[in-house]
Amino acid sequence: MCKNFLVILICFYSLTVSLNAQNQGDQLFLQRCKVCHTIGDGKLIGPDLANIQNRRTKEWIIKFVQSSQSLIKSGDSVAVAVFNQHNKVVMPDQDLNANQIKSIIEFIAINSPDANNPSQKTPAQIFSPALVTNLDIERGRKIFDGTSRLTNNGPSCISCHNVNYAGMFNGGLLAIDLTGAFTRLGAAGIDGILRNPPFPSMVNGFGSSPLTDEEVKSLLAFLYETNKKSALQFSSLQLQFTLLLGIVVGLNIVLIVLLIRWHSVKKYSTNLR
Amino acid sequence: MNLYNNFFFVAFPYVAVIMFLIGTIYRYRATKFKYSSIASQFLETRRLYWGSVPFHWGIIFLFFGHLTAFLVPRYVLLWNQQPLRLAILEITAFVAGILTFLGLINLFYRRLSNPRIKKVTNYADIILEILLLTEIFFGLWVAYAYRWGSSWFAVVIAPYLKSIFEFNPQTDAIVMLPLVVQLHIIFAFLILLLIPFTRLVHLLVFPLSYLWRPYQKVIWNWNRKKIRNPKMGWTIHKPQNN
Repeated sequence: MCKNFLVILICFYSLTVSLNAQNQGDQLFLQRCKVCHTIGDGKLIGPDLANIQNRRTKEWIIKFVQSSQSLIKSGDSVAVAVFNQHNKVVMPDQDLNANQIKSIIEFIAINSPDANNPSQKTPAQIFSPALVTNLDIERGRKIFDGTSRLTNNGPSCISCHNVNYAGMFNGGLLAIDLTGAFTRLGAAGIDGILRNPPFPSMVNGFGSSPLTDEEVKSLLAFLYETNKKSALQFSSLQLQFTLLLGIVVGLNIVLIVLLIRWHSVKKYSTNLR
Repeated sequence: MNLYNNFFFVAFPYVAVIMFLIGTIYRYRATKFKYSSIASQFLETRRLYWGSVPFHWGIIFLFFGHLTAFLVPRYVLLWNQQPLRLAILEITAFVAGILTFLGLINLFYRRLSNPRIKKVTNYADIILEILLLTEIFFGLWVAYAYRWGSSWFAVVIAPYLKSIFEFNPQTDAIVMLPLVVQLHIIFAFLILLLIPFTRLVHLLVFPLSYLWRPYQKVIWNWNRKKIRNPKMGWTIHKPQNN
């Protein structure tokens, strides 16, 4: 019994750890990389990392981050060239595991400018809190909860995400809650995720049915507003209560039907009646 | 981790489908008369009603619900576009899940507690009922803890299942799912694999023709009210039907 409990605990722990690892790219980038690197703002001590995922393989990046000098000493020509280009400044070894580095790469990917159209302004670049109108917010809310159909027939955000926003139908719980997304990711981060989704589930939903720039703009406005009011919003218990009530009513209806049928059901074999 | 993912979400589904196809055909050819649910209604009826009826109502709804979301995910998403419709679908599905779960618990209890049913129970029945109970429990857990499964099934699971049938398995989204959802999928394939080897085969030979065939008149040519001691020899007629 004790052993089983321990196994269950370990399973839950590993699950939690692996799920947390997916969301720590932004923090890790700020703590470990931002001192020497930018995403799209040019070279600092180290190179600009914008769209690094398109220039190097994940495996190579993981090796370089964990120990750049080992890679250089092994004779890797790309590593040697990068080292020479940046005045032979040694990048300190980072005590990060592969999953953590992958989460940083993901963060960089979603915050990088569009590699194909660097001159075209993205919704995030146009976005300004001062220009957010109530109409934008309302439009974004309807896109989020699905009452407005998306131009390219993508799924509504509510399928997987929740936000705490007054009068809003509660969203799904499969993916992360987006109430404070604006603080965590900023306009550029949200815009990047919406237009170039890095998560496989979102690729399934929006890969062939992308959001339009107008829809992204409305969603940015709505998420900005949600974030701004997040301190005043509480998770609604009303929906849970309604769902519970619905389930109890449904079960009672079925029970009544079963009881009605019970009268006409043969309960004993013929010779026992 | 890759090995685990490749095994459970690429290799295992194919093993399950192939075993299901070959096993079904083999069993139908080899043991045709055992190709049924091996009904025990003659042995016990009262508890069977409170187990079998809710279980079957629930599982039929859930089976066709999952099938619809797999075959026409787009239309499920369109239905779910209005929050009220989404709530109605989710509540109905959850009620069906609870019915299935309670019905199966009842059936399991009946199988373990009734001496007449115990006589006709084999290991496969026990294993199957435990697997089904676990699978339904996981399903209820997923529906409660990761709500709006009807919507995200259409976005995450349906493309994966489609990719399996197109012989181009795409597991990127599946491996990111919570463990309990993954277990629900793995157990579903395990149950699919076991169908040919258990009484579950009856779902493939559902007697649909009973719905339109004429009534059969059964005539007994001895006194049906007379209680017979099964240990005594037959004094009237020996049954001729088996």
